[in-house]
Amino acid sequence: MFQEKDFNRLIQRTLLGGVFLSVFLVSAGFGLSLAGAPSGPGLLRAGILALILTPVARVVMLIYGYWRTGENYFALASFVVLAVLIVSMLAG
Amino acid sequence: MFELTALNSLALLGFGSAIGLLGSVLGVGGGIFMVPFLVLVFEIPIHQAVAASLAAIVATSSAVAAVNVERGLANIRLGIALEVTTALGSVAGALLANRLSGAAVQLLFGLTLLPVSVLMFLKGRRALRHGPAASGPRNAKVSSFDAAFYDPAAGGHTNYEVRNMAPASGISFFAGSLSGLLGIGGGVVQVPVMNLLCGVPMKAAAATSNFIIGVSAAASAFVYFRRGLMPLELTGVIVTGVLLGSFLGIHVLYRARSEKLQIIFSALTLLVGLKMLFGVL
Repeated sequence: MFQEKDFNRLIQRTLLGGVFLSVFLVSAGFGLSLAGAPSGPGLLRAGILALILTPVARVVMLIYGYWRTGENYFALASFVVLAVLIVSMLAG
Repeated sequence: MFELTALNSLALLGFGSAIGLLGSVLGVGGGIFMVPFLVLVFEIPIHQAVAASLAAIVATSSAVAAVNVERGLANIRLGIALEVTTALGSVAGALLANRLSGAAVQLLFGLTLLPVSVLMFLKGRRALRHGPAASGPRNAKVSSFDAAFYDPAAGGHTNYEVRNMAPASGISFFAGSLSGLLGIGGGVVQVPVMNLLCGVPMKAAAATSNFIIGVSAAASAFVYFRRGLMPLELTGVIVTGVLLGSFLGIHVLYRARSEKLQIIFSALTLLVGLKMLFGVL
């Protein structure tokens, strides 16, 4: 049974996962740039992208979580947020 | 062209930490202070400053919300409901941006913030003098937005009802359109809406606002990123600083008293309101 506690943990892990991945890539990017490695800037770029996409992943997890708990109104609300988010990302 | 040196990297780290601390405790992104600071002190071009500041807001929001969701401080249902109208408002704001005078919106916004600041101050002071409103345990939830969290400063669980969702959604629409029109995150609107209008305790309002503001900031940040306008090294340094400050701020928010935060927030609202007015006049 998917409960409120599991839901909160899912959202927490998604957000922390995104932040830690970003910190890891940004630090590696800085380190390699300082060492003069050509892959440094690419990793830095990937780290910033991972950070920016973290809230998007969180909204996707909200849709999944509310669908699992059967709260369809909130799943729909999350879906509307995701749709607006994607449109403004691609059209801006 | 801005060059990162050891000295200015340290200064940016320190500045980022201060903004992260402010943002995580009060539920605002801090872009309104970060952009002018980067432009005036570090002479960074405005577009790069805005892009870096948006990424910093995403960092604060994601890091802080992760912990606050687990602690029950961030109200996810309330957050997602307000996110819908905020997101729709930001689209409306972007569409209206060419038709409305930015100065008029800024004037209206600045004037609105002044009474908001007074109300927040009075509410905080009253609670400090007479103690917070009683919030005994209830048996049944009245609406699906109602929630509770453990408050170490109050020494127990704080239950709260969420009132006035319809007007709150309307104002969030306005807050979202402000981000499209003025380029601000909207935390300075969301926190008073939740606290004054919906009756959400200050700590939960700040945590929920932090949860909300990451989404619209991510959308704008992605546009800068896609167009190649995101200064990667500068953003990397600021984000690192902001994350350090945010994790520190999470503990401050958890332990602080809601009433004191309310008074600090009222000073912040006054500062932002005056900044908006002086920007126009």
